[in-house]
Amino acid sequence: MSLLKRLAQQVGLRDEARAAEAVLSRRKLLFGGLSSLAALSPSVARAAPRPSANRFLVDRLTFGWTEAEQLLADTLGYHGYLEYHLNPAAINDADCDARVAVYNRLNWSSNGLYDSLPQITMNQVIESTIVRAVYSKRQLFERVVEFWTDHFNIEMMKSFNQWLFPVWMRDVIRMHAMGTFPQLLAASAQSATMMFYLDNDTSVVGHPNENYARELMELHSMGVGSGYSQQDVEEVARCLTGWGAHHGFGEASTFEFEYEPNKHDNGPKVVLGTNIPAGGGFNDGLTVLSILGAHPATAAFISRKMCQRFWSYDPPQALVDAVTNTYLATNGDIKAMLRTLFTTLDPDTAGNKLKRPFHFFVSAMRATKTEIAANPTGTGSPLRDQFKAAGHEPFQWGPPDGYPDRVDAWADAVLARWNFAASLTNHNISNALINIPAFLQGATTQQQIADRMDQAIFGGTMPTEEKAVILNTLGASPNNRTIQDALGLALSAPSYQWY
Amino acid sequence: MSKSECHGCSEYLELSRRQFLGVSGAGVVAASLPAWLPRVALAGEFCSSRDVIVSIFLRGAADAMTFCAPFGDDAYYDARPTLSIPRPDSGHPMAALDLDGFFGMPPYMSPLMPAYANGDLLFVHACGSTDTSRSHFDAMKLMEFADPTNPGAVTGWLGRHLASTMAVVPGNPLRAVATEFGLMRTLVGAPDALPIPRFETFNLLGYPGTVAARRQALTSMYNATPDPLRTAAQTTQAVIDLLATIDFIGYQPAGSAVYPVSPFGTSLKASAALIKSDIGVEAIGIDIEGWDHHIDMGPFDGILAQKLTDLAAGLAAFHADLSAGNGRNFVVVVMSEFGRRVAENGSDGTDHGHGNAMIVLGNRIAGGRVLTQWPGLQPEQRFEGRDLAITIDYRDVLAEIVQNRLANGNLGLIFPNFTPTFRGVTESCSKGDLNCDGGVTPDDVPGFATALMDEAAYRGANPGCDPLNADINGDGAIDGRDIQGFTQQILGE
Repeated sequence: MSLLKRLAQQVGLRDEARAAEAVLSRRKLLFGGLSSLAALSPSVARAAPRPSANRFLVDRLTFGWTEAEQLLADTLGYHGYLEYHLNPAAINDADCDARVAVYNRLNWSSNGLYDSLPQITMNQVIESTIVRAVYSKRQLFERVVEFWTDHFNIEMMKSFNQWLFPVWMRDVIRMHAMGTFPQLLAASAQSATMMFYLDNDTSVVGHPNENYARELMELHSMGVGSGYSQQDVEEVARCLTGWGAHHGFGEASTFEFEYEPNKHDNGPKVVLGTNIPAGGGFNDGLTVLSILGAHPATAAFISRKMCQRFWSYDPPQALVDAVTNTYLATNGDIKAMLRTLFTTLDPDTAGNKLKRPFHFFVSAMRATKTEIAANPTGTGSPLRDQFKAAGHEPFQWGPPDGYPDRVDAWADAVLARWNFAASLTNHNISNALINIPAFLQGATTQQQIADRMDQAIFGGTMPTEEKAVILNTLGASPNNRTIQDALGLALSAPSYQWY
Repeated sequence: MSKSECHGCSEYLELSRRQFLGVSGAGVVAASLPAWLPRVALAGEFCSSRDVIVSIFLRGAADAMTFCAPFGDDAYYDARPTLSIPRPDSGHPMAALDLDGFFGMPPYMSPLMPAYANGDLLFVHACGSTDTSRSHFDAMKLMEFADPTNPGAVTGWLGRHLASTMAVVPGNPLRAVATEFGLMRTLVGAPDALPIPRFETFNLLGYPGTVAARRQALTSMYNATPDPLRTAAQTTQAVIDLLATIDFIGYQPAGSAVYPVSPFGTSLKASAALIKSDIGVEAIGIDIEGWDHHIDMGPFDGILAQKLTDLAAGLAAFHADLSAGNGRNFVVVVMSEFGRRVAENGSDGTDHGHGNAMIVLGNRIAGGRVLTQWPGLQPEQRFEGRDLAITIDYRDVLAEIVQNRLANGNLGLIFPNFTPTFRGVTESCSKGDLNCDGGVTPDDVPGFATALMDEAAYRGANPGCDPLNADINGDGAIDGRDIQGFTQQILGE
C-alpha cells in the first residue's frame, strides 16, 4: 500500500483533536509521499541486476535482448559489437530484406503514391516498421530510425502525408539516420512531407506562417529556451517563405519539395544576429539551416536527447558534454556521437529505462521468435490493433514533439502490456504467432520449461520471485494451457519491462 | 433549477457516515453521529460535498477569439478581417450569440446557452499562464505543473491536490482517471490514478478460463517489484474489479442528455457513468488534440467550428446529465496552453499567441457571465504588440476552485510561490447565512435586513462576513428580489 493511500485511510477521524493531529502527520506523510515520488524520477532500479557490460550494450543497441545478440556481443567484445552495429551497411540482412521486399510501395515515387489508395500505403509503412524492428539484424540502425522519427515527428494522417509517408521514411529518415545531423536536418526541411505537416507550404511573402520556423528551432535543432527570440522565429519564417511542395488540383503534381521564388520574401533579414542580405532567394533558407546545424545549442540539444534515449533518462552532464564535443568536432556525425556515447562512461553507472509499448511488444516478439505474417495488400491487422490499443502505433502522434520517452508517460498503463503478452501467447493475434514447441527446444518438465523461458527471455537473469510464479503456473505436469499462460506471464513480468 | 440545491449531497452525507462507521468499527456510534462529520475535511467555503472535477485540456492552443469572441472591441475586426465571428446584430448567419453585450459565442455553440442562462457556465477571458513561451510543449508543461519556479517539477497541480487531501471514499482505488493512454502531467503525482482509454474494456485478456489465476500470478510478481510498476499494477488490479461492477455500455444519461458521437463525447459520457456510480472518483482528465490551426482554421464551418461544436455539445450534455434529478456536484475546467495571435496570418489561420480564455462549468460556479479585465486588442494594448494580454492568471481560477469546490486549502503546495486572487469564480456556499454561524435560520433575518438596507453598516457589524450572502438569487445585487428566496430558505421551503 502506498504512503498516500495509507494516509488516505488513516483519516477516518474520530474527533477534532485527532483531526488536528492528523493534519500534522498528514503534512509529514505528504511531504514524505511527494518526495517518494522517486517513482517518477529517472533512476528507478529494475528488479534484476545487469550482469555485464555486453548485456548492457545488447539492451541499448537493440529492440530487445536475444540469445543470438548476446552471443554476438560476447564473440566480438564490447567495442567490436558496437562497431558492428555502427556499420549497418556491412551487416548481411538478407532475411529481413526479403520480408520487407513485399511492401512494394516503400519504393514508389511521390507521384505514384498519390495515385494509389493511402490506407494500403500506410499499412505497408507501419507493418514494415514493426517487421524491421523485430527481424532486422541492423538493430541499432532501426533504433536510430525510431529516434529520428520521434525527433522529427510527422503525423501520418495529416494533409497529403498519408500518401507520401514512404518517401519521407526512405529519402529523409532512413537515408540520413546514420549520416550527419546537419544533413538530416536539411533533408527534413527540403521534404514535401515536413512542409505539409508544419504548414510551410502556405507561408508566403507578407504573410509568413510561423509554424515550421518555430518547431525547426524549438524541436528540431536548438531547443526551447536556448537563446532565440520571437523575432528570430519571425525572421526564420520569412527566410523560409516559398518553401513548399508541388501540388494542386487538376494539374500534374509531383508532390515533391518545391521552392517557389514568387512566394519568397526577398527583403533583408537578421537571424540569431547574422545578417542575411536582400535578394538571397532560396539560399536564405539554406543559410538558416546551416546556421542551425552548426549552432552549439543544436549540438548540445541533440546530444542530450540522444543520451536520454540511448543511455539513461537523466544522463550525466559529462556524457552530454562529451557527445556535444563530438558533434562540434565532426560536424554532427551521428555514428561518431553514438561511439562517444557508448565509450565514455562505465555502463554500470547507466540508469535503467522503461521499454515503451512499441519496444516491449517488439522485444517480446524477438525473444519468442514470433512469426509475423505480412499483409502488404491489407489496410490493417490484429497486430497493428495491439499497438493502437497501447497508444503507441508508429507515426500516429499528432503534435510535433513525438511520442514521449518518459517513465511517467507509460508506467501506469501496465494492463496494455499484460494484454499484449496474454494475447500473443494465447495465439489471439492471428498474424503474429509463436511456434511454442520450437521455442521450448525440447524442454518438457516444469523446471526445464521455466529454465528455458528464463534463458530465452531474460538471459538467465529472471528474478527468483518471478520464476517461482512461472513454475507455479506451469504446474507439476505442464500442458499446452499452462505453458502458454506461463509464457504470457514471463513476458508480463515486471523485470522484463525495463532495459 | 435553483442554485441553492445541492446535487448529490445527501448521498455523500450517507457515504461519509457509512464510511465513518466502517472505519470506527462501532455501530453504536450511529446514534450520536456528530453533525460536523461530513465536513471534517472541508474548507470553509465548501458546502456539504466536494465537486468532482473534470479537467479538459485543448492541446495545441485553442482560439478564444472564436469561442468567446470580443465583438464589442472594434480592433477584433481590424485584426481578423476574415476569421472573426460577426456581431450579434449583423444579420450574418454566423452572428455571435450575445453573452453580455461585449462577448459572444459562435452560433454552433448554442447547446451551451441553457447552462449559461442558468448561471452554471463561466468564461474567464484574457486569462492564462503568464509565462512568455510560445512553445506548445513548454507552455503545456508549465501550465500543468503550475510550479514555474521549480525547474525540477514532476507533478501536476491536480495531482498535488489529490495527494494533499483524503479520499472522498476511503479505499477507493480510482480517485483520478485520465481517459487517455497515459496520465497527462496535470494528474501526475495523484495517488490512485490511472490512464484508462476505455472503461468498458478494462480487463485482462487471454484464455478466459485462467484469468483469475493469471491475475493472481501478476499480483505476486508485481508486489515484489519497486515503484512505479508496483503501484500501477496494484491500482490496475483493483480497478479491474471496480469497473466490472459498472454498466458503461448500458448507461442511460439523465436530463435528456445526448452526447456527441465522438471520442470526446464518448469520454464524457463514460465519465458521467463513472461519477454517477458513486465509487468516489474525484478527478477526470480528458485531452482533446488538434487545436493548432495555423492554416484553414475554419471558425464558421471548418475544422475549428467542428471541434467547438463537439466541445459545446459534449459539455452541454454533461451538464444536463449531471444536473438532472438527483445529480452530482461537478466542476469542469477547460483550458489550453495559450491563445492564438490576434491578427490572422496569410494561410487563413493564426499563429501562436499569449492570453486566452478558460471555460468553467459547474453547479456551484458563479457563471452566466464573462469574467474579465479586458485589456483591449489595439496593437499597443497587446502583449508584445501581437497577442491578447493576460490580466487574470489561470491559477487564480484554479486555486479558487480547489479551495472552495474541492475543499483543499493547501494552496501553497498546489500552486507554489503564487498568491492567488479569488475573483468570484465559485458561488458563495453561504447564501442566506448572514450572521456567519454556518446555517440559515431566523437568526439571520436582522443581518439580511441590514445588508439589504445598508451594506456598509452590515460590514461594520459583521466583520469577515460577505454581504453578498444576501444576494440569494445570485444576480450580483442585494435588493428586493432576494427577499422571496431568503424567506423560503428560512422557512425551509
